[in-house]
Amino acid sequence: MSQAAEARKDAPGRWVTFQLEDETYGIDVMQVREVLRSEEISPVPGAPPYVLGIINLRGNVVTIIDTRSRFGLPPREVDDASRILILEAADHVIGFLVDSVREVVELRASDIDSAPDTGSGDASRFICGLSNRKEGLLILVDASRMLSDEEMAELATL
Amino acid sequence: MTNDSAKRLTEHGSHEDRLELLLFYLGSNQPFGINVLKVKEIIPCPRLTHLPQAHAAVRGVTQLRGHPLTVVDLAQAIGRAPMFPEGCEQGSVIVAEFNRSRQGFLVRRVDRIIVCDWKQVLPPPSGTGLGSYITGVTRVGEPLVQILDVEKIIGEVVDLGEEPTGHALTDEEIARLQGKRVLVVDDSTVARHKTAQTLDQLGVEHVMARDGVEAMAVLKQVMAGEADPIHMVISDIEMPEMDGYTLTREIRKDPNLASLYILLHTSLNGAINTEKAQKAGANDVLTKFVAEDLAHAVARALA
Repeated sequence: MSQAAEARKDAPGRWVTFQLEDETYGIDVMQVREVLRSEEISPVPGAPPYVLGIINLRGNVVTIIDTRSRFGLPPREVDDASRILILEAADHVIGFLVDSVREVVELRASDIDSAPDTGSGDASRFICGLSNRKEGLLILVDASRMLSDEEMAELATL
Repeated sequence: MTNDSAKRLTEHGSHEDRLELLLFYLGSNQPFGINVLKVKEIIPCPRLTHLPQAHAAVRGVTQLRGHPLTVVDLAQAIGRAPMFPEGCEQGSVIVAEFNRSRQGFLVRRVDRIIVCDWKQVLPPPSGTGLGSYITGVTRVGEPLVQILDVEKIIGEVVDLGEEPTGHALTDEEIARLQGKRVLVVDDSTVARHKTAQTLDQLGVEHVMARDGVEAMAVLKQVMAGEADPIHMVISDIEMPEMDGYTLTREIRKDPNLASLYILLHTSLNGAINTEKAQKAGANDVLTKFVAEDLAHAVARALA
């Protein structure tokens, strides 16, 4: 590998950090299209339980996922800090409701460890790594794995 | 405490087959024990990060010396209520290393190290059933110390459903193994099951024993002509009543068995075991559990 490639390999990536319950998560900035204040979300009758509803984003209808439910966390009321992350995941544009969005951090590949086995099986396949920062561990997630293929197919029919 | 103090104790002990147990409590008066050789260090419980969808007994993950460590609530893992429903800062984490991996066990309180002889360790009383999380009990005053089957616990929490994978032996190697019989000695149901699966894949017949005493009984039957011949012994090291080192020496003492191939198959990591195993007279030592390595070790033994 050339030196330039080496340097590129460990070039810092930028991650948007967000909060859910007590933990801080990071998502690759390239997967984040925009961050919205949580606005009126219209529930969709008959939608699967992890779907909060839909919003109208400049003329496009976007499905909003209940990220807490997806992550197995208890529900929480939407408040002023709540945000919707509009993510591009596997050719879909999907919104994820989170407790708050914090900052953008730079991480090198060498700052990222693989997540140890916590007995979650496939349920946590969206966790792509951990990064140790002085504020605590940052849990890195991959937007394209937040929903299974079946769930993606289910959403496409909504 | 580090493992150095444990090693020092072992070297000073005149008897090789002493078991050193670290005693700890899970929120009741019942003392529990874990083999000191499995313990890397003990730390006050750090802040734990909870990963989504983790197993209910996993309290979280922390960074320890540059690597993430999964911390399992031992009380919850054995079916009791969690010890610290609020925060776990009051607890201690036993950092353990076995089966080629590192795990953290959250306990209420760590007590002290006791030294006992494997002969003083009794198998779990019959009637506690297959669901028991105890590999043995030993008496050190009152009450009885229960030795936890940490391998089974970890197997249920983090390796759930993971089956041994392929063996990677050639057809000629497999052909040479046909008709061979192996005696598998292990007190852990999980380990016996995994070993049996690997041997089944190789087409090797097997007989099971739960400890050294049972294994010797099987070998005596073979010598008396009451059972088919045994070509190899695969034995765990830590077992109640008679451990793997003692079993090895007992086999070597018997002129009819002296040439029997013995593989010690242990969950303990590290070179200390290799040395002790060779001294006891074992032919080979292997750290659990990699099906492929076991298959190669069996092929070497029975070639």
